[in-house]
Amino acid sequence: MGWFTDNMQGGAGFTGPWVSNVGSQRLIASDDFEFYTDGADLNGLDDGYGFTGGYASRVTYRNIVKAQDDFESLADGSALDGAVSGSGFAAAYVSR
Amino acid sequence: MACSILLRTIGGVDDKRAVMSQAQFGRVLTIGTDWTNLRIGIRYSLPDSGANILAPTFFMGVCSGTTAMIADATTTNFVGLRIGNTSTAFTRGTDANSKVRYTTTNLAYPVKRVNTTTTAGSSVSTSNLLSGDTSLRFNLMAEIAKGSPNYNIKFFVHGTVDSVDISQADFLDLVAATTPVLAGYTWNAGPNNIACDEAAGAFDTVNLYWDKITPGVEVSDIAIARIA
Repeated sequence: MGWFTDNMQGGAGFTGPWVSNVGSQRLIASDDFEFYTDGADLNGLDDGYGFTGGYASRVTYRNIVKAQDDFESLADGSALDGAVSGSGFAAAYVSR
Repeated sequence: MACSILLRTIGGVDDKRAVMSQAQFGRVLTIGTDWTNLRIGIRYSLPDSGANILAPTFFMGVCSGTTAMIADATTTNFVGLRIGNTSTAFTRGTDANSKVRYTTTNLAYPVKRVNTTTTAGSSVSTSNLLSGDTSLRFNLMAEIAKGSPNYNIKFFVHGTVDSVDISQADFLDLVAATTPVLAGYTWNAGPNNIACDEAAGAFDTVNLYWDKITPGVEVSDIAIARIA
């Protein structure tokens, strides 16, 4: 695909083609690993945009940050007990 | 008593905090025991009490389930970092900008607790500053590396420079960094050993405790990263 080629038409509200000197592909390949299963072997997985094959790797994919909470979904003045918030936790908070 | 949620507004942005006042909290992790090296981080501050904090203890680590945690009459199993002891104060002071903070020199310990027995390793030589200004959130992290017979308790504390508020984005980056680096902070990789195992209970729950009613510890964010 090309980005902003000089004969590209489209988009509402424009009356003419794009005019640009940038006609080549700008985004070659990218992958954020979001499709991987935590703990999976990275070898041979085919994922991401712009790649033609799987990864060759000796490492295991790890989703590093596993749990976090900023308490923003909780009500001011409420007790932390029983609140369900944040990601990466298997149960509600217990506090006492 | 249970931790409570406190809304503060810092720089025009709401910041809801879990306040520990002679309180603990725990939460089971989705990954359970599937880790060998787990880092726990908080972004926190304390209000200025106007005086030294006498004989405090703060715990941050992992325990086994939420029925019997670190501050309960009995503890199934706990290992982590303790800051403070029952005989030494956190000293109130100010930095060059008159910002309040508490100094806890050489008061970091690897620690475990099983049933009613608390065992601490050697105190670690470190200068650790705790924020005494609720607008200046510091980063504090403990990392637990399993081993046999010793667990190594690493930690990341504020060192000696002037107090600076840490953003949430910077905090999360540091929690996931292989080796956290931040100006004014110290990463102590140990080994800070404590002989420990999971025979009494598998470590699957993050657990924090602060034993003072005033000032409370205000936790703005908590994050846990499996490093290995």
